Amino acid sequence: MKTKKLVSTIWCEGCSGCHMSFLDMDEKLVDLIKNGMAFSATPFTDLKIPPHGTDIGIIEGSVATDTQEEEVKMMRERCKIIIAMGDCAVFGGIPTMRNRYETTEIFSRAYKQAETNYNQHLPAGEDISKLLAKVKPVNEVIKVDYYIPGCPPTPEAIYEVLSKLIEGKTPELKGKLLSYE
Amino acid sequence: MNSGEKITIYPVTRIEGHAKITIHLDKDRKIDKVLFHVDQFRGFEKFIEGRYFEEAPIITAKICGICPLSHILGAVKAGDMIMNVQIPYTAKLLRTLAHLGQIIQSHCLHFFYLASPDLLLGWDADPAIRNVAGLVEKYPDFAMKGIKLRKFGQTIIEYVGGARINPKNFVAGGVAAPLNVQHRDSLLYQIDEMISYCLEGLEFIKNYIENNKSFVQSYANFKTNFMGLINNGNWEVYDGKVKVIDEKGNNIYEFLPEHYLSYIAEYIEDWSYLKFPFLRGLGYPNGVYRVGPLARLNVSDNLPTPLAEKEFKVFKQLGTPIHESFYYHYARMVEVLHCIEKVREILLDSQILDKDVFVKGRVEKEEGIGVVEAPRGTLIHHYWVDENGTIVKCNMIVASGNNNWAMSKAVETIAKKFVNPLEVKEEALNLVEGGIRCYDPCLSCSTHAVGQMPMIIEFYDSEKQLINKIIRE
Amino acid sequence: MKKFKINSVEYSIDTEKTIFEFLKDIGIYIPTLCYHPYLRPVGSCRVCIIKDRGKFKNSCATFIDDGMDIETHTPELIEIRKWILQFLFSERNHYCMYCCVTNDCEFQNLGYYTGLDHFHFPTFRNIFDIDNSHPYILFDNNRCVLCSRCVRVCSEVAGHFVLSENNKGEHSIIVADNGVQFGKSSCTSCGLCVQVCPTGTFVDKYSMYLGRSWETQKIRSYCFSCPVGCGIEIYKRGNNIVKIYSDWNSFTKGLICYKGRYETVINYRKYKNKTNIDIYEDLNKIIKNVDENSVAVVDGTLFNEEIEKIRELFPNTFALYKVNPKILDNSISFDELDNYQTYIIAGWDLNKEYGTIGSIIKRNKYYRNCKVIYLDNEKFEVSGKTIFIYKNYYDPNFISGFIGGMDCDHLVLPLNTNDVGLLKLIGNKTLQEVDNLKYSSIFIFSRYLNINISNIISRFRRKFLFTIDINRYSDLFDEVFPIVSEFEINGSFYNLFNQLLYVERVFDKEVV
Repeated sequence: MKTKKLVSTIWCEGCSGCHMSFLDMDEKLVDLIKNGMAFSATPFTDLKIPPHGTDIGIIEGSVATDTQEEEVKMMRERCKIIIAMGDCAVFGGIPTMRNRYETTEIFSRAYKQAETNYNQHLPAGEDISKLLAKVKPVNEVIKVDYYIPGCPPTPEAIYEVLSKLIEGKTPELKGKLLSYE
Repeated sequence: MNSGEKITIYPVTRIEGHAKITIHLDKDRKIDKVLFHVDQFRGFEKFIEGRYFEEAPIITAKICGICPLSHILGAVKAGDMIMNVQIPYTAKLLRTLAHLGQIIQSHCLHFFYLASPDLLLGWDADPAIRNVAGLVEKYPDFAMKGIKLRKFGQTIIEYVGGARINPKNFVAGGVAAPLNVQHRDSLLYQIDEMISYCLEGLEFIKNYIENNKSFVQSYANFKTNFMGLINNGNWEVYDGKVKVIDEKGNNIYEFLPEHYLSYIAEYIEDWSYLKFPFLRGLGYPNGVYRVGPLARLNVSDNLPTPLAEKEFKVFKQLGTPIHESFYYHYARMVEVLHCIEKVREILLDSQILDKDVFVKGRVEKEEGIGVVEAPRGTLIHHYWVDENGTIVKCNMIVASGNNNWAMSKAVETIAKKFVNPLEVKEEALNLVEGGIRCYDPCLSCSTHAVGQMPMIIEFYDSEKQLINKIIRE
Repeated sequence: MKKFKINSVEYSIDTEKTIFEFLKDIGIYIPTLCYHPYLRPVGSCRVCIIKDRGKFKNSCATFIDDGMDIETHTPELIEIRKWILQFLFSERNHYCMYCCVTNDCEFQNLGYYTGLDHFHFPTFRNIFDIDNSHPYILFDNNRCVLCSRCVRVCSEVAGHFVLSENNKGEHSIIVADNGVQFGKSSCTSCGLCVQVCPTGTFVDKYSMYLGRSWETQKIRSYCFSCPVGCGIEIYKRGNNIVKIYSDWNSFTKGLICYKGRYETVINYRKYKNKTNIDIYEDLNKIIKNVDENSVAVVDGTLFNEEIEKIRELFPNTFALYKVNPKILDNSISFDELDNYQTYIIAGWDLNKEYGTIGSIIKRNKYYRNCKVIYLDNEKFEVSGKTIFIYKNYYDPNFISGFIGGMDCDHLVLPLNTNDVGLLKLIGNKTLQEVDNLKYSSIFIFSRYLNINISNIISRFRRKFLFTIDINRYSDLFDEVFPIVSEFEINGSFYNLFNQLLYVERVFDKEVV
């Protein structure tokens, strides 16, 4: 049996839609697993951190907190190939809409002005991450090897890229597979 | 506050979101408290300000990729209210249909992909295979049925909404396109098959409960109030009134969704970005409540389709109301069954193919409130607009957010029961995470804001000095 | 004769043509963005870049010259186009996921064409406010690529001169009236900026998310909301009109006004009802016997076929109002309106009614320095070829007395869309002019009843109305019947240039 290609995915400032699209491969996901894809750390498995030398690292979402910045760098360190999946990871996407405001303004709406608030308090405990001033696409933090734009990318596009990489070929998104929507 | 030692589970996996659990120990190394931290904040309420209200559905859809449709429907219902229109009957059918598809896909994703590895492979199975891929290898048939059920739900959304994730056809005033006859027939054709898969899943969870009775009854069993939408006593996800029952099952409130501000408030804790909603009248934390599948079944009197009603009656015998967190899994599958049957009912409606699915008005009201039952519970969108329809402010209470306190409570009760601070086992920590998983939290949603990192267990002494660290890779 | 080479192949032409036009003729595709076939090229976006003898040129604005040696698709050019697109994409908020024109967007298509899958540059350098003050249009500078199509169409074609560019470099934005809120500007809401915008900078609020062009069915037709009868394209999906665009290939050459583009859609959505009556097909079923005491009154908001049908059924059919017979003398064509030196205007507002005629006059005033005179001016001098354009209620005697022996053409503007048809089919006889005491029942047929009828109907014993807005007059009549809109019927009408225009049914009739 040929060696399995280890795939690890993480999810930063995104909505998980890309992971859903990943699961939307449905039966093709089973094909990939049969053809030699194995999951390392992902949101739907229990490993929390990919081992060094993981073959493919997939990142969903843009980078918006200090923790996420570290996670993304950790992925780069531990994975041979990094794929930015989805518009947020590739271009920045919806989360960058908050770049229009200072973080304090955003916090203030949610934790001070919201109509349902009972008390007014900015959560700042040591166990929660701190927001970065600006939300960034992944390639502003680390080097990215392949990009799958789309909101979310179609399951077909994700399959195209993964199946090619598992075979050791270079994927290219063309025609309907390339979409920003 | 962190005067003792602390164990951290981060990120919580096989949930849909970014979260962290810390277990705090007191000086005698007993568990003092367990906190469930939601570690993301995105600020949708702020950056949606200044945009046109008709953009709200498509922007808020990006709050969550698992149940984008619930957000879309919350926002378009608010839009209907702003334009002061009654949408055509068929449009309402189509919205409900798609939403049922949403619940089927979301529940099946959770049950088959995320929760069942624990149940089938064991809580103590090797973390490397305790996932859907492990399931595919060991129980390919069961996994395949789960995959197909989820696909069925996604297909409904695709046919009605134009796309599986982030569908674009739902607009304030109705639906942009009617359903075509080929799509209806292809869905109808699959229903019997789907019901049989669903019954298998239901059978499986019932057997599991039967065989693990004492575990189930002791697993995160605590009492709260429950909240959910109902329509004349019937189970409802799109329209209707909000019903709240207390921990003994007494009906304490039944109010129109538009009046939510008088009943619900949110408490902010320092250690989580996610706020803690509670009932104003009862105060915090007495007024905390749970939402989602279990809550919906607890507040409903009927699930008016033949097979589901039968299962519902059996389910209801477990108690009034049912408090054990583990029954969320059971309730979820009962709901899936009801949804599939309801999908058939709607598809067979004589007006389902009607082409009149849209009405349009001008901006007439300055406020719009849209409330739906998302797969994970009651979802509230509230917008204030100016005379041109520009959003001036926005407030949301999102499904998983309602369960925030319950999730914290669940992990605490489990941790106190299963975690021995002196000898931390991986299995025990998985059981703690499992407590969160019962609620199928979609934290990307609830913070409008959502981990993948090593599970690090850190022991702090009372001086906050790190004394030990265990890393699971 | 100019001889030149394209990709080493020799060609020659003897006409003036831009490189882009020629490449298009011989079937070579060059991506373009700021170029629009009905606007003057400005060559601002540089996406259509080509290389001629070692120099980069934009093909849309460069005319072919003798000796040119043009390269169109070298690897270098393809790479440069990709970089140019990246500059445009990364400078502002081109995030397609929540934009209502996604997958229906020229700019996005260029990204797909060049295979752009990420940006090399940080995004979001500048963030601008969204302008939602306009009643019909959402205006978001964050999506603007500064192609200036909107600015050009607003001036060159529509003659409104509302939009212009402000500021410099990356801070450049499109502004209305030099920087007032769009909704408070002098914009007349013709919506041509929406139609030519290659991105989602200008979008119709009334068609947002309702269907992109490939999800809709396009039907060419004529606007029925005023007597000009502009050529339009109707985009439908299900039983709904998504949007109406102007038809560049019709006799009005892309002109349109707010009535045609927005108000008709809004009206259609408002009055659409399954049980509406099609006069042409259903009237026989509803009115079985017409006795000699009954009289029918019709107006110019009906199609010729409907008027004929009513006349067939009612021996006594009259016009609701008097139509100025001079409209039959309107002999100029729409195109000829561009050829005058002086325009005299009486009784109407260039920006509010007959909008496309207003557009023509306004753009000629600017580009050809023509004179526009309002009748309320006390003194005026005319020069050159002159046309007198006035509302139909002006008495012919008054007009001729006013102008005296002045040699000028006339254009009478009728009140309702098909007043010419009404005049041709019914004549100029109204109910008031005949001995109307012998009738006891009155049937009024008018799609959009827009004149006061209370004194006409007051003495009738039984009163019936067939109209679209059934609630407006319901207390004045015994019964009000809803009739179908102009989109649910086949029909024809005469516009004010005496052209007979056919309108095809857009929606299938539902079974009543």
